[in-house]
Amino acid sequence: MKIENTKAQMRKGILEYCILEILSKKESYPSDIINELKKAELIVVEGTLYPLLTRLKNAGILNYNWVESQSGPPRKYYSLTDEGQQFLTELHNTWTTLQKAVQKISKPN
Amino acid sequence: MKKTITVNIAGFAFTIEETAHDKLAKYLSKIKSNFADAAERDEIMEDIEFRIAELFHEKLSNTREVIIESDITEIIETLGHPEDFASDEDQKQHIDDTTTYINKRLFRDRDNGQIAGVCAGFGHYFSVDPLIFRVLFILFMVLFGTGILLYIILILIIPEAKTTSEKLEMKGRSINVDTIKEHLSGIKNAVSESANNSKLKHRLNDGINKGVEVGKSIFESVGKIIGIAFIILGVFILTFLLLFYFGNIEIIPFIGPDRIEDLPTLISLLYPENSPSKLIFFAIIIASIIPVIYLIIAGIKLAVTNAKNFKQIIWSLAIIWTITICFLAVVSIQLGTDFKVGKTIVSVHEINENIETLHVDVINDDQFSNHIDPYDDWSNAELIKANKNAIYFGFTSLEIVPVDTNQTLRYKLKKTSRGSTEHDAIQNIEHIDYPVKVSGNKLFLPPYFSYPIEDKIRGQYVRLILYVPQNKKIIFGDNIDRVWRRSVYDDFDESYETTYTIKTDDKTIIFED
Repeated sequence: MKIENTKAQMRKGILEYCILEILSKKESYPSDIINELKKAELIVVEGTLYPLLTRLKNAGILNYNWVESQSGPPRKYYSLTDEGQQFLTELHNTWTTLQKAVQKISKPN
Repeated sequence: MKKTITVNIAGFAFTIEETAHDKLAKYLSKIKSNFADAAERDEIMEDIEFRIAELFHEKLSNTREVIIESDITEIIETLGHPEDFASDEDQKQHIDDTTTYINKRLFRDRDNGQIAGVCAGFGHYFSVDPLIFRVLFILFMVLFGTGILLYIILILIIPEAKTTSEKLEMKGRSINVDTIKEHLSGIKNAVSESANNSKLKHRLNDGINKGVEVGKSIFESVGKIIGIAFIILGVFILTFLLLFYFGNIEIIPFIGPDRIEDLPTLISLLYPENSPSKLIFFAIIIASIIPVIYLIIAGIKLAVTNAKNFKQIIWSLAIIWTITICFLAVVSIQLGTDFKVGKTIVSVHEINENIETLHVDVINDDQFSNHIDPYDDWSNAELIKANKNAIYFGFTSLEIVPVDTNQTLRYKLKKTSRGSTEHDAIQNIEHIDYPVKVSGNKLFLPPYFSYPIEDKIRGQYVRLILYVPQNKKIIFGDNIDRVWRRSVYDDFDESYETTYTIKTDDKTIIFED
C-alpha cells in the first residue's frame, strides 16, 4: 500500500466538493478556483482542475459564461446550476457526516 | 541568436522560440494522451490552450516580445505535469488502450549489472537471462582474452540508461504515466534495499564511472593523435600531388626535368587521337586529390572535438569523385579495346660465319645514353620521349643465348605490339623502327626504338636475342652496360650463369663448357 496513492485518492474525493463550495459563493474562473485551493493546500497545479470542471459541466452540475478579459483571451466563468446546487447540498451533508465519523473514531478514549 | 516561430494559441499570435515551441508541443501532446473521450478531450485541451494564452500574455506584458523556454517550464509548473491531468477513470482506460509498445533500445543497466551493466543490458534487449551473456564473456576471456577488451569497448559505446524513459526503453515497455510511476516506486524500493546491503557496490560504481571517464579521455586523445597524423599526411600528399601536377617538378628531388614526361603529354601519347586529353588530365587530378581531402577531413574530425560538420562537403566531393571516375572509365573503354590483341613478329638475321670475335656496342645517343640510368627505373615513363613525329622508347632488351658449335652466329629480333585488331597490332609492329647495324665484326644496337606518334603507346617492345656458338667470343663496348644490365634484370635466367662466366673487367664473355 503506497501512502501517496491513498493521499491522492482522499484529496480527489473532496476536491469536487471543495470546487462546488467555492463556486457556490461566487462564479469564478479556473485561476480563481486554483488560488482558493492553493490557500487551502488542497492542490498545487491547475492541470488537475480542467478535466474535473469539464466533467462537472458535462454532468450538468456546472455552467459557464464567457467573460472578456483585458489581459488575453476571454475567460470561462463557472457557476452552479440548480442541479449543482442540490448536488452540493447532498455533498455537504455527506461531508458533515463523514467529518463527525472521523472525529468520533480518531478521538482518544 | 535563436530561431523563433509564430504560433496561434486560442486565436492569439505569439512569437516563440523554436526550442520553447518544441517543448510546449510535446507537453500538450502528452496531456492529450491522458484523455480517452474525444469530445471531452478537445474541450479540456481548448481550456488549457486558453489558459496558456493568458499566461503568455502575462509573461509578455512588459518588455519582452518572445516566449522563451524558461517560460514554458514555468507554465508547466503552474499547470502541472501531464500525469496530474489524468483522473482515475482515464488512467484505467489508458492502460487498456496501450497496445503499442515502444522499440527497445540497447542501454547498459547499472541497476542490475554486475560490473557496468553491459550483460544486463543485452539481457533486456534480447529478453533473455543476462547470465547467458556473462557466461559468454567469461568464456571469451578464458579462451582468447578478448572478452576484456570487448567489454571495455562495449562500456564505451553503449550508453547507460539514466533517465526513467531510457530505462523503460531499455526494457521495451511502453512509456506512460503508469509505467513511469511503477518504475519509480521500484527504484525507491531498490534504493532502500541497496542502501542497506552494499557500500561496496557504491564504491565499485564510482570506480566504474571514473574508469569510463578515463577510458573515454584516452580514446579521445588517441583519436586526436591519429587525427593530427592524418592531417599532416594529407597535407603532405596534397602538396606532393599539386607540385607533381602543376608545380615546378624539380622541387621534388627524385624527379628531374629529364626524368619524366609531364602527365598531359603522357596522356596524349596514350589516349586515342580524338580524346579530350586535357579533360582526362584534370579528371585524374580530381580523382586522386579527393581521397586526400577526405583523409584531411577525417583528421580534422578526429583532432578537433567540436569540429564543423562537413556533411555537405563530403557529399559534394563524393558526387564529383563518382562522376570523375565514371568519366575516366568511359574514356578508357576505347583505350582498353586498343589493347585487345597482342602480336609478336620475329625476324632472324645471320651474322658473318667467319667472325671469331664479335664486338657488341650501343650507339651513343644524347637523350638515352647520358641522362638516364637504367638502374633507377622507378617509373617506365622516364624511358619514353616524344617529339612531333615519333615516340622513342628507351632500352630494348638484350639477351645472350649460348648455342652448340654447329649452329650459326645470329640474332633474333622480337617486335611486340598490341592493337584493337590483329591487323592493327601487326601494323603497329611494322612501324617500329629499330635499326641494328652490322659492319664487319661489329654489331651496333640503337639504345631505343621508335614509332610514329600517331600509333600511340600500344605496348610496343623490342627484344634482341643473340645466339652465340660456344667457340666464339664476344667483346662488349663501353655503352653496352645499359642495355645489357637491363637485360640481366629483365630476362636473365639463373640457369645461364652455369654455362658461362662474365669477366666484367675487359667486357669479354667467354663461353665455357
